[in-house]
Amino acid sequence: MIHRIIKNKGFMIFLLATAVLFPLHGCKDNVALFDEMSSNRLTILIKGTYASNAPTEPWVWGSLDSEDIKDSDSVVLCDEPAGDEVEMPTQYMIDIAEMKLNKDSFSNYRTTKKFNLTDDDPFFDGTGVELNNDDPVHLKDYTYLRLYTRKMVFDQARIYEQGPAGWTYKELAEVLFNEKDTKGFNINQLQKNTYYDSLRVESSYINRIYPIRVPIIGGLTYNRNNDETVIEVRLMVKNYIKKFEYTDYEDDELQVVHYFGFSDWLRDVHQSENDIGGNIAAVARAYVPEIVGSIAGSNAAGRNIFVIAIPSGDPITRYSLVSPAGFSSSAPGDITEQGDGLYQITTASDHSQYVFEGDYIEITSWGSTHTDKYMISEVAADHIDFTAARGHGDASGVDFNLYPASDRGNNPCDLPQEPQDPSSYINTYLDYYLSYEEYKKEWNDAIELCNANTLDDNTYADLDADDDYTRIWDAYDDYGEAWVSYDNSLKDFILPPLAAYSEAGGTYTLENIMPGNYDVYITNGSAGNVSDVNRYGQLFYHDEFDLVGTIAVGENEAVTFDVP
Amino acid sequence: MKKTTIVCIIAPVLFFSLISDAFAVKSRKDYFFKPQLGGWFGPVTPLAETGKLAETTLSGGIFARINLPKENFILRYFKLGVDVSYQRYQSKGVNEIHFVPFYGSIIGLLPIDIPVRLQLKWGAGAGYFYIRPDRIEQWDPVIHAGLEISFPAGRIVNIGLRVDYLYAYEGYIREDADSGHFLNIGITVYFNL
Repeated sequence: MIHRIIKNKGFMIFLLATAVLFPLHGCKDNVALFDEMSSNRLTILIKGTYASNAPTEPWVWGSLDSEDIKDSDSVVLCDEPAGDEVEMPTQYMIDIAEMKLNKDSFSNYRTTKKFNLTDDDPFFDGTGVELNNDDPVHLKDYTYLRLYTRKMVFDQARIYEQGPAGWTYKELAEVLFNEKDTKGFNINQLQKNTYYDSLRVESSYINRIYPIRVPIIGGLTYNRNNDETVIEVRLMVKNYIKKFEYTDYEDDELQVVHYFGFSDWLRDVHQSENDIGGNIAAVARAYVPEIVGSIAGSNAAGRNIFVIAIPSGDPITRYSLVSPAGFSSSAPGDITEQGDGLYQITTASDHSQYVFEGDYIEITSWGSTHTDKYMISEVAADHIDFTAARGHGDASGVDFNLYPASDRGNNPCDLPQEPQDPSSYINTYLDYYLSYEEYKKEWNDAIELCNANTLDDNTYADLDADDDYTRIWDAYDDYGEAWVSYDNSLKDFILPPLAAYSEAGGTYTLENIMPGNYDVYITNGSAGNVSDVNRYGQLFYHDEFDLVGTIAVGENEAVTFDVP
Repeated sequence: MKKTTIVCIIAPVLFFSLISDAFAVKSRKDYFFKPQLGGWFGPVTPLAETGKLAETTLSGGIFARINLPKENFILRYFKLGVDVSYQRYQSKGVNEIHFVPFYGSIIGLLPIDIPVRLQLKWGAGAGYFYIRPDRIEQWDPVIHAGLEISFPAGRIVNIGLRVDYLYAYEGYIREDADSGHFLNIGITVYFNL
């Protein structure tokens, strides 16, 4: 059959003619494919500052030394010996394996970067550093960028060992970065988990660092018909570095590493916790340079401020945390028992904007002499529902305070931690047993507060008398709920997509703004001078921002808006 | 006699007796005058600018060839052929090119009297392209030039090596547009029908 077809010259000539003439078919709308593939219309800029464009907040290194930027919770074991020449970190290094938009690969390029911690490094001056990438899919929507970081390193990490005269400096920690021995400490490994993760059974499977999921505020619909599209990714690094302590045994000898990592403003790190994860504050946004506008104006606030712009209607609590100080009742409320451990308190003012399910209500005088925190189950405009032990009954004229679950200090189930495993060294064993006694006492005191919702009078003896095992189980649940609500209230925090730094009496400019409506906030008096050394290592709480206006920005429009 | 001497004598005798077919040039060259059907397999690589977009890979294709009138003294050394193949180029990044060249060609036998046949090929046709991540598919004109070295392995089968250059023309879309350059190298087996 094939034999006959191929010997049929008529057919072969037809085939040949088809092949040669085929290009004439439908070439009208063709795209220059090879240009399309080699041209790059999407740019990824990465910045390490709170401000989204120049000028950025200055480094406040000048008036600080490394002692000032240590996390006092974390650095407790080892006092740096007198005369030890502790230095501030000078470099931040990042090794990015690849990036993805949603789950699409678009940057399979391993990139290693070293940034100098100075005001004129492009990573810190608002310019941004370009990363290597290809274009994603035309007209596809993307909502987040995944950053796969292999390593993040700050230099000047110092190792101390215990000698006869106390701690002595041993050497600078060394790490392999970009296939070279480099002085520094890789914090990626410790950012894998938070303390909350370490409490969970599946802790070893939790991974907060590969990848870092950076939300793109407003999303990105990539369109190849735009000459250029930019995704600006910001990681909070500038003025957000703290010193932590990492303890380890080398040949049975306790040694300590003092290294630099990201501030634990978000997820507080306590003593002897090696997990510092969940503290990378990041945000991304996309813009098309051809159509962007700007907002600029003067700063009449009389202090150095940040002006931030967020999509109109977004709650400010997405870009800030609710102040851990919480709220006090403006007027006393009345409590009604709803049955089955559920209570409702009337509130004179509406707290639903800042207080959420999982936060805490503290009743200052109700039935018991204790001042206890109870978990909130619902927040409405005129009342708050919460859970507590059964049988407290109704009450009227009760004062209350509301606390966000996001602050670890407000978490009643933040129980003391068991001292670290002592290895096989006699003096560390003795230390361990002493600490263990202390730990047992503290734990017994703390567990009753954690189970305040379940226990009638805050004693476990009561549980036994009732012989009510379901309530013992409830007591266990309280612990889990408290930590879950802690983590839930933190995990959605992101940096504001647009932020400008402005000095007192100066001006500010928010650049490269996509057309749309924006709520503009400024940092207020309680935030003070944002470049003050007292603010080092901190971001902002909701009550440190004031809404100053809602601005509509049009295509290529430069809006002037002076802030009070 | 030393071992090496024996090897030196016996080896050439064995070698020449085994490849005696290679000396039957005159009659075997006649197989060029038969229609042929074959396939090829081998490394394919994008060249020049295109080489920066994607990487070398393996690929293969099929082809068929017919003769021109044997009576004509000149035309009898030329054949007409049709080639089609599928080539998928990937890259370290996300770029990916799926390329299906479909072209006709003129094959000319070089009138050199050596044991292997040297053929030159010139052709034109079309190429189907599908590129990722842009997910664009279209047809582009393709121009082809190639060289083929082959020898017969019996009455039916021919074995050869082919080197083809394919040029995917995109200048018609925009004057300064880059065009695609591909080099296909393959071991080929084809049959005399």
